[in-house]
Amino acid sequence: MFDFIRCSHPGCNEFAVTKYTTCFQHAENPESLQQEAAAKLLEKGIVGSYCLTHGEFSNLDLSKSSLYACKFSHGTFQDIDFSDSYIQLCFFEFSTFINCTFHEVTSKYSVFAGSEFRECSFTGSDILHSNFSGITASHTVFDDSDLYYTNFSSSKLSHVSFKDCNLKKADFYLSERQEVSFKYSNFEEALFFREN
Amino acid sequence: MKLFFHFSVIGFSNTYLIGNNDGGAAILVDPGHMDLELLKLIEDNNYYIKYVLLTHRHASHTKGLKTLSKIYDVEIFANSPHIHDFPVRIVSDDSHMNLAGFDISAFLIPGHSSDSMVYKISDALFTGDVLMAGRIGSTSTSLSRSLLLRSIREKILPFDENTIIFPGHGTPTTLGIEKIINTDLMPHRHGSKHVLTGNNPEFS
Repeated sequence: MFDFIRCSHPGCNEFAVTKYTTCFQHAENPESLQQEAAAKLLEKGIVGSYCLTHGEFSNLDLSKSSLYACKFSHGTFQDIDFSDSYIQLCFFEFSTFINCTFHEVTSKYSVFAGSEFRECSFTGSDILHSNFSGITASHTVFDDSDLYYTNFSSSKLSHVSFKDCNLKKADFYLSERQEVSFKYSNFEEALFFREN
Repeated sequence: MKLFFHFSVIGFSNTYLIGNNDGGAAILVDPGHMDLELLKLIEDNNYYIKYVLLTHRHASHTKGLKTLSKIYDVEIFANSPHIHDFPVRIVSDDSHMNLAGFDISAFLIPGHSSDSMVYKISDALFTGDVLMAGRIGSTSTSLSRSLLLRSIREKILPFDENTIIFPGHGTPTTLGIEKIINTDLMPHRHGSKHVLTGNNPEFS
Protein backbone atom coordinates (compact mmCIF):
# COMPACT_ATOMS: atom_id res chain seq x y z
CA MET A 1 0.00 0.00 0.00
CA PHE A 2 1.46 3.32 -1.07
CA ASP A 3 4.71 1.89 -2.31
CA PHE A 4 4.71 4.41 -5.12
CA ILE A 5 7.97 5.63 -6.61
CA ARG A 6 8.62 8.85 -8.49
CA CYS A 7 9.05 9.05 -12.25
CA SER A 8 12.70 8.75 -13.30
CA HIS A 9 12.33 11.42 -16.00
CA PRO A 10 14.42 14.46 -14.98
CA GLY A 11 12.32 17.14 -13.31
CA CYS A 12 9.13 15.06 -13.21
CA ASN A 13 7.35 14.79 -9.84
CA GLU A 14 4.64 12.39 -10.96
CA PHE A 15 4.43 8.91 -9.52
CA ALA A 16 5.70 6.18 -11.83
CA VAL A 17 3.31 3.62 -13.23
CA THR A 18 3.38 0.54 -11.01
CA LYS A 19 6.24 -1.81 -11.98
CA TYR A 20 7.73 0.83 -14.32
CA THR A 21 10.28 3.57 -13.78
CA THR A 22 8.45 6.42 -15.48
CA CYS A 23 5.03 7.98 -15.24
CA PHE A 24 2.41 7.45 -17.92
CA GLN A 25 3.30 10.67 -19.72
CA HIS A 26 7.00 9.80 -19.95
CA ALA A 27 6.53 6.14 -20.82
CA GLU A 28 7.94 4.88 -24.10
CA ASN A 29 4.71 3.12 -24.95
CA PRO A 30 1.88 4.64 -22.93
CA GLU A 31 -0.76 2.86 -24.99
CA SER A 32 0.42 -0.56 -23.84
CA LEU A 33 0.55 0.61 -20.19
CA GLN A 34 -3.04 1.69 -20.46
CA GLN A 35 -4.08 -1.63 -21.95
CA GLU A 36 -2.17 -3.43 -19.22
CA ALA A 37 -3.99 -1.39 -16.57
CA ALA A 38 -7.37 -2.04 -18.16
CA ALA A 39 -6.62 -5.76 -18.32
CA LYS A 40 -5.61 -5.76 -14.65
CA LEU A 41 -8.80 -3.96 -13.66
CA LEU A 42 -10.94 -6.31 -15.75
CA GLU A 43 -9.58 -9.31 -13.86
CA LYS A 44 -11.78 -8.05 -11.00
CA GLY A 45 -9.50 -9.41 -8.31
CA ILE A 46 -8.28 -7.18 -5.51
CA VAL A 47 -6.18 -4.40 -7.00
CA GLY A 48 -3.91 -2.84 -4.39
CA SER A 49 -1.30 -0.11 -4.48
CA TYR A 50 -1.60 0.36 -8.23
CA CYS A 51 -0.66 3.66 -9.85
CA LEU A 52 -1.41 4.98 -13.31
CA THR A 53 -2.14 8.69 -13.53
CA HIS A 54 -3.35 10.58 -16.64
CA GLY A 55 -4.79 7.37 -18.09
CA GLU A 56 -7.80 7.25 -20.40
CA PHE A 57 -10.31 4.48 -19.95
CA SER A 58 -13.58 3.92 -21.77
CA ASN A 59 -16.30 1.30 -22.17
CA LEU A 60 -15.18 -0.99 -19.38
CA ASP A 61 -17.25 -3.15 -17.09
CA LEU A 62 -15.43 -2.75 -13.77
CA SER A 63 -18.40 -3.77 -11.67
CA LYS A 64 -17.60 -5.70 -8.48
CA SER A 65 -13.99 -4.48 -8.50
CA SER A 66 -12.00 -4.04 -5.31
CA LEU A 67 -9.53 -1.18 -5.34
CA TYR A 68 -7.29 -0.44 -2.37
CA ALA A 69 -4.79 2.42 -2.16
CA CYS A 70 -4.70 2.97 -5.91
CA LYS A 71 -3.86 6.17 -7.71
CA PHE A 72 -5.64 7.05 -10.96
CA SER A 73 -5.38 10.85 -10.67
CA HIS A 74 -5.89 13.10 -13.72
CA GLY A 75 -7.59 10.20 -15.50
CA THR A 76 -10.43 10.19 -17.98
CA PHE A 77 -13.17 7.63 -17.44
CA GLN A 78 -15.97 7.39 -19.97
CA ASP A 79 -18.80 4.84 -19.96
CA ILE A 80 -17.30 2.85 -17.09
CA ASP A 81 -19.46 0.68 -14.88
CA PHE A 82 -18.09 0.66 -11.32
CA SER A 83 -21.30 -0.82 -9.86
CA ASP A 84 -21.01 -2.83 -6.68
CA SER A 85 -17.30 -2.00 -6.39
CA TYR A 86 -15.30 -1.44 -3.23
CA ILE A 87 -12.98 1.57 -3.35
CA GLN A 88 -10.81 2.35 -0.33
CA LEU A 89 -8.06 4.94 0.06
CA CYS A 90 -7.94 5.51 -3.70
CA PHE A 91 -7.02 8.76 -5.44
CA PHE A 92 -8.95 9.93 -8.51
CA GLU A 93 -8.38 13.66 -8.06
CA PHE A 94 -8.60 16.02 -11.06
CA SER A 95 -10.15 13.31 -13.22
CA THR A 96 -13.03 13.42 -15.68
CA PHE A 97 -15.92 10.99 -15.38
CA ILE A 98 -18.45 10.91 -18.21
CA ASN A 99 -21.51 8.69 -18.10
CA CYS A 100 -20.05 6.45 -15.39
CA THR A 101 -22.16 4.26 -13.12
CA PHE A 102 -21.27 3.88 -9.46
CA HIS A 103 -24.46 2.07 -8.44
CA GLU A 104 -24.19 0.55 -4.96
CA VAL A 105 -20.47 1.21 -4.61
CA THR A 106 -18.68 1.48 -1.30
CA SER A 107 -16.14 4.28 -1.23
CA LYS A 108 -14.15 4.92 1.93
CA TYR A 109 -11.44 7.52 2.49
CA SER A 110 -11.11 8.05 -1.25
CA VAL A 111 -10.35 11.25 -3.11
CA PHE A 112 -12.24 12.54 -6.15
CA ALA A 113 -11.53 16.23 -5.47
CA GLY A 114 -11.26 18.65 -8.38
CA SER A 115 -12.82 16.13 -10.75
CA GLU A 116 -15.56 16.65 -13.28
CA PHE A 117 -18.62 14.41 -13.31
CA ARG A 118 -21.01 14.49 -16.26
CA GLU A 119 -24.12 12.31 -16.30
CA CYS A 120 -22.85 9.97 -13.60
CA SER A 121 -24.88 7.91 -11.17
CA PHE A 122 -23.94 7.07 -7.58
CA THR A 123 -27.34 5.68 -6.54
CA GLY A 124 -27.66 3.42 -3.51
CA SER A 125 -24.01 3.83 -2.54
CA ASP A 126 -22.04 4.14 0.69
CA ILE A 127 -19.68 7.02 0.02
CA LEU A 128 -18.14 7.54 3.41
CA HIS A 129 -15.42 9.92 4.45
CA SER A 130 -14.58 10.66 0.82
CA ASN A 131 -13.29 13.86 -0.73
CA PHE A 132 -15.36 15.45 -3.50
CA SER A 133 -14.24 19.01 -2.73
CA GLY A 134 -13.97 21.32 -5.71
CA ILE A 135 -15.73 18.93 -8.07
CA THR A 136 -17.82 20.13 -10.99
CA ALA A 137 -20.84 17.88 -11.38
CA SER A 138 -23.71 18.13 -13.81
CA HIS A 139 -26.69 15.84 -14.36
CA THR A 140 -25.38 13.51 -11.69
CA VAL A 141 -27.36 11.51 -9.16
CA PHE A 142 -26.43 10.51 -5.59
CA ASP A 143 -29.96 9.37 -4.57
CA ASP A 144 -30.42 6.82 -1.76
CA SER A 145 -26.77 7.09 -0.74
CA ASP A 146 -24.99 7.34 2.58
CA LEU A 147 -22.66 10.33 2.29
CA TYR A 148 -21.49 10.40 5.90
CA TYR A 149 -18.57 12.80 6.44
CA THR A 150 -18.09 13.26 2.69
CA ASN A 151 -16.72 16.62 1.59
CA PHE A 152 -18.36 18.57 -1.26
CA SER A 153 -16.95 21.96 -0.21
CA SER A 154 -16.24 24.47 -3.00
CA SER A 155 -17.98 22.21 -5.50
CA LYS A 156 -20.04 23.40 -8.45
CA LEU A 157 -23.19 21.33 -8.70
CA SER A 158 -25.69 21.70 -11.50
CA HIS A 159 -28.70 19.41 -11.87
CA VAL A 160 -27.43 17.14 -9.13
CA SER A 161 -29.76 15.07 -7.00
CA PHE A 162 -29.14 14.08 -3.36
CA LYS A 163 -32.62 12.68 -2.67
CA ASP A 164 -33.09 10.49 0.39
CA CYS A 165 -29.42 10.57 1.35
CA ASN A 166 -27.72 10.46 4.72
CA LEU A 167 -25.92 13.81 4.83
CA LYS A 168 -24.68 13.64 8.42
CA LYS A 169 -21.43 15.61 8.61
CA ALA A 170 -21.39 16.00 4.80
CA ASP A 171 -19.72 19.30 3.95
CA PHE A 172 -21.21 21.66 1.33
CA TYR A 173 -19.39 24.80 2.49
CA LEU A 174 -18.99 27.30 -0.35
CA SER A 175 -20.64 24.96 -2.83
CA GLU A 176 -22.38 26.55 -5.80
CA ARG A 177 -25.66 24.80 -6.38
CA GLN A 178 -28.03 25.13 -9.30
CA GLU A 179 -31.02 22.83 -9.66
CA VAL A 180 -29.83 20.68 -6.77
CA SER A 181 -32.27 18.64 -4.73
CA PHE A 182 -31.84 17.43 -1.15
CA LYS A 183 -35.43 16.18 -0.90
CA TYR A 184 -36.06 13.63 1.92
CA SER A 185 -32.41 13.98 3.06
CA ASN A 186 -31.25 15.10 6.51
CA PHE A 187 -29.67 18.29 5.17
CA GLU A 188 -29.95 19.82 8.68
CA GLU A 189 -27.06 17.57 9.73
CA ALA A 190 -24.87 18.64 6.79
CA LEU A 191 -22.51 21.57 6.93
CA PHE A 192 -23.32 24.58 4.76
CA PHE A 193 -21.71 27.27 6.91
CA ARG A 194 -18.68 27.50 9.14
CA GLU A 195 -18.22 29.40 12.33
CA ASN A 196 -15.10 31.54 12.65
CA MET B 1 4.93 0.74 3.64
CA LYS B 2 1.39 -0.20 4.57
CA LEU B 3 -1.03 2.38 5.85
CA PHE B 4 -4.39 1.78 7.49
CA PHE B 5 -7.02 4.35 8.32
CA HIS B 6 -9.17 4.09 11.43
CA PHE B 7 -12.05 6.44 12.21
CA SER B 8 -13.40 6.90 15.68
CA VAL B 9 -16.90 8.26 16.19
CA ILE B 10 -15.69 9.44 19.60
CA GLY B 11 -14.09 12.75 18.70
CA PHE B 12 -14.65 12.05 14.98
CA SER B 13 -10.91 11.69 14.62
CA ASN B 14 -8.62 9.68 12.37
CA THR B 15 -5.97 7.29 13.61
CA TYR B 16 -3.36 5.95 11.22
CA LEU B 17 -1.54 2.63 11.49
CA ILE B 18 1.75 2.54 9.59
CA GLY B 19 3.83 -0.58 9.26
CA ASN B 20 6.06 -2.61 7.02
CA ASN B 21 4.64 -4.99 4.44
CA ASP B 22 5.51 -8.07 6.52
CA GLY B 23 4.18 -7.00 9.93
CA GLY B 24 6.24 -6.38 13.09
CA ALA B 25 6.84 -3.10 14.86
CA ALA B 26 4.40 -0.41 13.76
CA ILE B 27 3.57 3.24 14.32
CA LEU B 28 0.22 4.65 15.40
CA VAL B 29 -0.52 8.29 14.67
CA ASP B 30 -3.01 9.96 17.06
CA PRO B 31 -4.77 7.18 18.98
CA GLY B 32 -7.83 9.25 19.82
CA HIS B 33 -9.76 6.19 20.84
CA MET B 34 -8.61 2.60 21.25
CA ASP B 35 -11.38 0.20 20.36
CA LEU B 36 -11.73 -3.42 19.28
CA GLU B 37 -11.82 -2.47 15.62
CA LEU B 38 -8.43 -0.77 15.85
CA LEU B 39 -6.99 -3.64 17.89
CA LYS B 40 -8.20 -6.10 15.25
CA LEU B 41 -6.63 -3.99 12.51
CA ILE B 42 -3.31 -4.12 14.32
CA GLU B 43 -3.37 -7.80 15.23
CA ASP B 44 -4.86 -9.14 11.98
CA ASN B 45 -2.00 -7.53 10.09
CA ASN B 46 0.62 -9.03 12.43
CA TYR B 47 1.71 -5.73 13.92
CA TYR B 48 2.51 -4.63 17.42
CA ILE B 49 2.55 -0.94 18.27
CA LYS B 50 5.98 0.20 19.27
CA TYR B 51 5.76 3.91 18.52
CA VAL B 52 3.05 6.53 18.85
CA LEU B 53 3.29 9.87 17.07
CA LEU B 54 1.03 12.58 18.46
CA THR B 55 0.22 15.60 16.31
CA HIS B 56 -0.89 17.53 19.42
CA ARG B 57 -2.14 16.99 22.93
CA HIS B 58 -5.93 17.43 22.45
CA ALA B 59 -8.04 14.58 23.83
CA SER B 60 -9.55 13.51 20.49
CA HIS B 61 -6.01 12.61 19.39
CA THR B 62 -4.59 11.16 22.60
CA LYS B 63 -7.33 9.61 24.71
CA GLY B 64 -6.71 6.09 23.42
CA LEU B 65 -3.22 6.11 24.97
CA LYS B 66 -4.49 4.81 28.29
CA THR B 67 -5.89 1.60 26.82
CA LEU B 68 -3.16 1.31 24.19
CA SER B 69 -0.40 1.43 26.81
CA LYS B 70 -2.02 -1.47 28.69
CA ILE B 71 -1.76 -3.63 25.57
CA TYR B 72 1.55 -2.55 24.06
CA ASP B 73 4.79 -1.17 25.45
CA VAL B 74 4.78 2.04 23.46
CA GLU B 75 7.18 4.92 23.09
CA ILE B 76 5.31 8.22 22.68
CA PHE B 77 6.61 11.07 20.54
CA ALA B 78 5.11 14.56 20.82
CA ASN B 79 6.05 18.19 21.15
CA SER B 80 4.22 18.59 24.45
CA PRO B 81 5.95 17.22 27.58
CA HIS B 82 2.63 16.49 29.30
CA ILE B 83 0.30 13.92 27.72
CA HIS B 84 -1.94 12.32 30.36
CA ASP B 85 1.15 11.79 32.58
CA PHE B 86 2.75 9.40 30.09
CA PRO B 87 6.50 9.73 29.54
CA VAL B 88 7.01 11.51 26.23
CA ARG B 89 10.00 11.83 23.94
CA ILE B 90 9.97 15.45 22.86
CA VAL B 91 10.00 16.05 19.12
CA SER B 92 11.33 19.43 18.09
CA ASP B 93 10.79 21.48 14.95
CA ASP B 94 12.54 20.31 11.79
CA SER B 95 13.79 17.13 13.41
CA HIS B 96 14.32 13.73 11.86
CA MET B 97 14.05 10.22 13.24
CA ASN B 98 13.85 6.65 12.07
CA LEU B 99 11.12 4.54 13.63
CA ALA B 100 10.15 1.01 12.59
CA GLY B 101 12.38 1.46 9.54
CA PHE B 102 10.67 4.64 8.34
CA ASP B 103 12.44 7.97 7.95
CA ILE B 104 10.27 10.60 9.59
CA SER B 105 10.56 14.37 9.44
CA ALA B 106 8.75 16.48 12.02
CA PHE B 107 7.66 20.11 11.78
CA LEU B 108 6.22 22.33 14.49
CA ILE B 109 3.23 24.26 13.09
CA PRO B 110 1.70 26.20 16.01
CA GLY B 111 -1.64 28.01 15.82
CA HIS B 112 -4.35 25.43 16.44
CA SER B 113 -2.35 24.47 19.52
CA SER B 114 1.12 25.46 20.62
CA ASP B 115 2.37 21.89 20.24
CA SER B 116 0.94 21.06 16.79
CA MET B 117 3.28 18.83 14.83
CA VAL B 118 3.16 17.60 11.25
CA TYR B 119 4.98 14.36 10.43
CA LYS B 120 6.23 13.45 6.97
CA ILE B 121 6.74 9.81 6.12
CA SER B 122 7.67 9.09 2.50
CA ASP B 123 5.15 11.04 0.36
CA ALA B 124 2.57 11.36 3.13
CA LEU B 125 2.01 14.19 5.58
CA PHE B 126 0.16 13.50 8.82
CA THR B 127 -1.19 16.94 9.55
CA GLY B 128 -3.39 16.48 12.63
CA ASP B 129 -5.49 19.63 13.03
CA VAL B 130 -3.08 21.88 11.13
CA LEU B 131 -4.39 21.30 7.62
CA MET B 132 -7.48 19.36 6.59
CA ALA B 133 -9.41 18.93 3.35
CA GLY B 134 -10.77 22.37 2.50
CA ARG B 135 -9.75 24.14 5.68
CA ILE B 136 -7.06 24.86 8.21
CA GLY B 137 -7.30 24.11 11.92
CA SER B 138 -9.48 26.19 14.19
CA THR B 139 -7.78 28.92 16.19
CA SER B 140 -8.81 30.94 19.20
CA THR B 141 -7.39 34.29 18.14
CA SER B 142 -6.58 36.10 14.91
CA LEU B 143 -2.92 36.07 15.97
CA SER B 144 -2.99 32.26 16.23
CA ARG B 145 -4.62 32.09 12.81
CA SER B 146 -1.91 34.28 11.29
CA LEU B 147 0.76 32.16 12.94
CA LEU B 148 -0.83 28.96 11.65
CA LEU B 149 -1.17 30.30 8.10
CA ARG B 150 2.40 31.56 8.05
CA SER B 151 3.77 28.25 9.29
CA ILE B 152 1.73 26.29 6.73
CA ARG B 153 2.98 28.54 3.92
CA GLU B 154 6.60 28.28 5.05
CA LYS B 155 6.80 24.63 6.00
CA ILE B 156 4.01 22.70 4.25
CA LEU B 157 3.21 24.36 0.93
CA PRO B 158 6.77 24.02 -0.44
CA PHE B 159 6.32 20.24 -0.64
CA ASP B 160 5.32 19.01 -4.07
CA GLU B 161 1.71 18.79 -5.15
CA ASN B 162 1.55 15.00 -5.15
CA THR B 163 2.18 14.90 -1.41
CA ILE B 164 -0.71 13.08 0.24
CA ILE B 165 -2.29 14.65 3.31
CA PHE B 166 -3.76 12.49 6.06
CA PRO B 167 -5.47 14.86 8.49
CA GLY B 168 -6.67 14.33 12.05
CA HIS B 169 -10.27 14.89 11.02
CA GLY B 170 -12.08 14.47 7.72
CA THR B 171 -11.06 13.02 4.40
CA PRO B 172 -7.62 12.46 2.90
CA THR B 173 -6.46 15.00 0.35
CA THR B 174 -3.32 16.10 -1.47
CA LEU B 175 -1.28 19.25 -1.33
CA GLY B 176 -2.14 19.94 -4.98
CA ILE B 177 -5.84 19.88 -4.14
CA GLU B 178 -5.45 22.13 -1.13
CA LYS B 179 -3.41 24.69 -3.02
CA ILE B 180 -6.30 25.09 -5.47
CA ILE B 181 -9.43 24.47 -3.39
CA ASN B 182 -8.69 25.35 0.23
CA THR B 183 -10.27 28.77 0.69
CA ASP B 184 -8.55 29.25 4.06
CA LEU B 185 -5.23 29.32 2.23
CA MET B 186 -6.45 32.02 -0.14
CA PRO B 187 -5.87 35.67 0.69
CA HIS B 188 -9.55 36.70 0.67
CA ARG B 189 -12.13 34.38 2.17
CA HIS B 190 -15.82 34.57 1.31
CA GLY B 191 -18.50 32.95 3.41
CA SER B 192 -21.38 30.95 2.00
CA LYS B 193 -24.26 33.11 0.87
CA HIS B 194 -26.71 30.24 0.74
CA VAL B 195 -29.41 30.36 3.38
CA LEU B 196 -31.31 27.32 4.54
CA THR B 197 -34.98 28.16 4.68
CA GLY B 198 -38.12 26.12 4.52
CA ASN B 199 -39.00 27.81 1.24
CA ASN B 200 -35.79 26.85 -0.50
CA PRO B 201 -36.69 24.42 -3.32
CA GLU B 202 -33.41 22.53 -2.79
CA PHE B 203 -34.65 21.14 0.50
CA SER B 204 -38.34 20.54 -0.14
